[in-house]
Amino acid sequence: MLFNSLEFILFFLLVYCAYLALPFRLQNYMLLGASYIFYGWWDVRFLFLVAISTTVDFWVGLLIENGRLHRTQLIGPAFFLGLSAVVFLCLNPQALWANGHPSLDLASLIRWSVIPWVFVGAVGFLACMYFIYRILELLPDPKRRLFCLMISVTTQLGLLGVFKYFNFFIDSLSFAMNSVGVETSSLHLNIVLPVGISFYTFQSLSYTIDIYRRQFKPTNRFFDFALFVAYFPQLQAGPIERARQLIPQISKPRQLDYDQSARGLYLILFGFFKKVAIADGVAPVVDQIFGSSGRVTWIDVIAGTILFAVQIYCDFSGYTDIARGTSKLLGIDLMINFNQPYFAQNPQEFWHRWHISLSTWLRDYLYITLGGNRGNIAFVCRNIMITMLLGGLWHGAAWNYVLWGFYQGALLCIYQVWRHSYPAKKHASPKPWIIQATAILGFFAFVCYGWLLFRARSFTQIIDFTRLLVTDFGDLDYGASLPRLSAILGLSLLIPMEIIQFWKNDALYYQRFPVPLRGLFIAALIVVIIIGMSNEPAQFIYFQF
Amino acid sequence: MSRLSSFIFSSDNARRIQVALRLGVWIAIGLTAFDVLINVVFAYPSDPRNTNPSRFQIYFEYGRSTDAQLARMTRHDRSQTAPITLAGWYNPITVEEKSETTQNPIVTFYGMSHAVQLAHALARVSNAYTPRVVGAPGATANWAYGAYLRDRGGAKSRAVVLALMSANLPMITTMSPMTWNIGFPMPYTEDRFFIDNGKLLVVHPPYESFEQYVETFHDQAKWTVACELFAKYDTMYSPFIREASFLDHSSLFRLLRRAYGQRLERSARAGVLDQSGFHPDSEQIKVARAIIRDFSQHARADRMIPIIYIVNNFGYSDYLFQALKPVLDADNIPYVSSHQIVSPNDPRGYVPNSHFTDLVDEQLARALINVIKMRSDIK
Repeated sequence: MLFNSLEFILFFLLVYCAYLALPFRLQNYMLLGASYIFYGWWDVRFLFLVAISTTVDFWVGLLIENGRLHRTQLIGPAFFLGLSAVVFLCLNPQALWANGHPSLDLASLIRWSVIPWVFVGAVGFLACMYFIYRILELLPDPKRRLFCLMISVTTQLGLLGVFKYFNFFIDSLSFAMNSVGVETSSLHLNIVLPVGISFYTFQSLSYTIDIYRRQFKPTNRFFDFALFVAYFPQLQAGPIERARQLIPQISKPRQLDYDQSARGLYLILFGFFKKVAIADGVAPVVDQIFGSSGRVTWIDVIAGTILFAVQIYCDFSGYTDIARGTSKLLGIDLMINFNQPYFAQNPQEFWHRWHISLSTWLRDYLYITLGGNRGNIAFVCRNIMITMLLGGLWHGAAWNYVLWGFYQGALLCIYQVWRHSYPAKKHASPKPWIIQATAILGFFAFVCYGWLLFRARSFTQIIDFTRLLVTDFGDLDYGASLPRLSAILGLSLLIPMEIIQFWKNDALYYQRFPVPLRGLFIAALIVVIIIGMSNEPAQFIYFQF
Repeated sequence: MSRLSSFIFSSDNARRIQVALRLGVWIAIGLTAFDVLINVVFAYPSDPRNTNPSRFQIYFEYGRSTDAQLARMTRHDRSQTAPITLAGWYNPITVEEKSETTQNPIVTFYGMSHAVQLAHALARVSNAYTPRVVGAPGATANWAYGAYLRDRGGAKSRAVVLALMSANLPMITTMSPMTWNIGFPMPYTEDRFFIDNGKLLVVHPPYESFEQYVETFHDQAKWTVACELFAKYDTMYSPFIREASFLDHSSLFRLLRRAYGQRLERSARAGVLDQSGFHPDSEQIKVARAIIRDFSQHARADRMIPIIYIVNNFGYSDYLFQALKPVLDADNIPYVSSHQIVSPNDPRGYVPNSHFTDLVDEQLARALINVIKMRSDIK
């Protein structure tokens, strides 16, 4: 279910009304059910992966901390997993809906052919887990903790590996073998990438790693944990929440207050503004330029790349704003994921501002684990490169994402070497605004080139476009169309807003406007959204990651 | 005191509620102001003969109900009505042809503006043929075939060209562009073809001439009957898009209706076309293939060369050609497909209004001449 769809608006209204009417515990059960409906709207079968991820990490968390499970902690999740296997794998809810109308096709409602496999698989998996549990119980504490963590890491990365990276590595290996003359048979699997798998597996992993590091106590309540993994506002594209931030909010009754609700509504509106009016309004131009099979000029590449920078920012931060806004209406705060990234003056600052939940995840669980800054400059650069290459690969199973990660890593390494050679003065006065503006624009150019690598369809296109940037300098024969009216109007509102926010260093600056001005400002956002509603609604870019 | 009333009557919350209400009022004032401003600044010309409204006037007019747009455009008097209301009628069929001063073979084109432009390009690149055009703005393949069946090449053509284009192929199962061209409804009507037991059958529209249309449109009972026929046979008919209401006066509501209309159009396209191409099992493709087959049989029976002109619009790859190729090959039907001349992913082959550049049209015209020559040689 897309945020920018009528289905979601109706869905959320129902959820919100039910939420207001229910007591705390039932609110959590209802939210869990709603989250599963939200995710299953796309493909119900992949909810089983969410269920596996949830069950295994719930057990692992408790085993790391306590060394054993109570009977209810063992049986409840096992029953949940078995039931999930039956419901999500054996039933076909699409049979209840045909050609846009409700229907009841009993013959196809049950996937009879998979029932024996599901039964054998579920029983086998649970028996295997029980066997491992019995062994873990016998192990001494440090070993048990480590083994438990390994189970969590293997499960989560295994899901990612099979569903996201298997074909990529097999195809790359096959290509490499074929290019040296060794014929291989294709092992390509015909599998679909489950939406949001990179987000919920990383989120679940952070839970077990934090418990292993004794930074967080596991929850005893299975359904609270299940809600933490599947919480619908951030299930499909983040932010990748930390357990210590989200689980305490889930486990305690929540107070809805005016300020939080007002802020939530504004974030939803602003998210729709960025996504519907701007991102979807520039997307056709970007698609034209990067999809062109004809002549492309220097100005086409420049325009296409800058517009893609606008698109990906408005698309992803728009999603995050809607996620944070809906969550605020439910009384739960999600972390800030974007903090004006295009105002960064260097690569380090950029990664403190862009996709903050991922960059801090990579920092805490990968970069620091590799040794972080504790070594000489070469050691630090090695850690940065490994982290950024894997960060690039996280975005997608394709070599251009790896190249993008490499490029970002290289920028960070160069910056580290620079900082190492010319350390910043501790009490240096702020730079004049003209220097800051130049640094922002200069670094934005580097960011944009990174987006070219990210968006390109092939290596050939990267080479062609890079060559055009260098050799075709100044060719202003623009061949693509203009962005949609909503994007032009939207950007003429968004850019001053971002500059004011940066200048004042205040994300809530609009709340200090006089009421009439605030009302007109919100009305302007609504008008631009309405204009943008005619744009082709595109899926959020980060869903594919 | 209940929780709700204690919430409302605490002084702090009462102040916040007051602010929220004031904010709501100002948002409403702002929306109304924008609505009025758009209506005033970008007011659409009321004179139906004005054919040059600005881009913004057109943009903010999109979404007005079809009935309201037709009412603004339509007059009884041909000299007073909007020129677009006169175009595309089957009765009488409008033919653009040069007076025959030479014995050049005649090539008749049936279709949309792309077909007209190809005909003009043919005249530019060669003196050996006389183009003759039976066209309508945005004409779908069903309109073109209906026009062919009424004209039959004027009983004097050497070749007849039937044009199909990927952008409006999903509308091949409609009865008038007023049901699918939401931004610019044109009242002319089209034959609705459908397949029954493998045979191509036809439902004729409720009116086929401008005069019949004006009479029907201004008679509520007749108009209702006509719209019932559209509702029954036209796959893109929507009462929400057609029926006028007082909300037509609101520019923001028009934008919302426009968004709904776009959604309707996208879902119609999605039912026929996805990223791998047109669905061969869709009714639209089946009808298109049947039209091509029947057209070629009729033309050959009339001793004319049938030629299919496939316009692969920008962004549609060569999907239409691929969808039609099986029947073109099976029945050995001559064709010219634009993807052979210009890539459907190269914006430089197209002008902003989605037509081909003159250069591309001329290349297409040369390709057409080659096809005619080759088929003439075979005969």
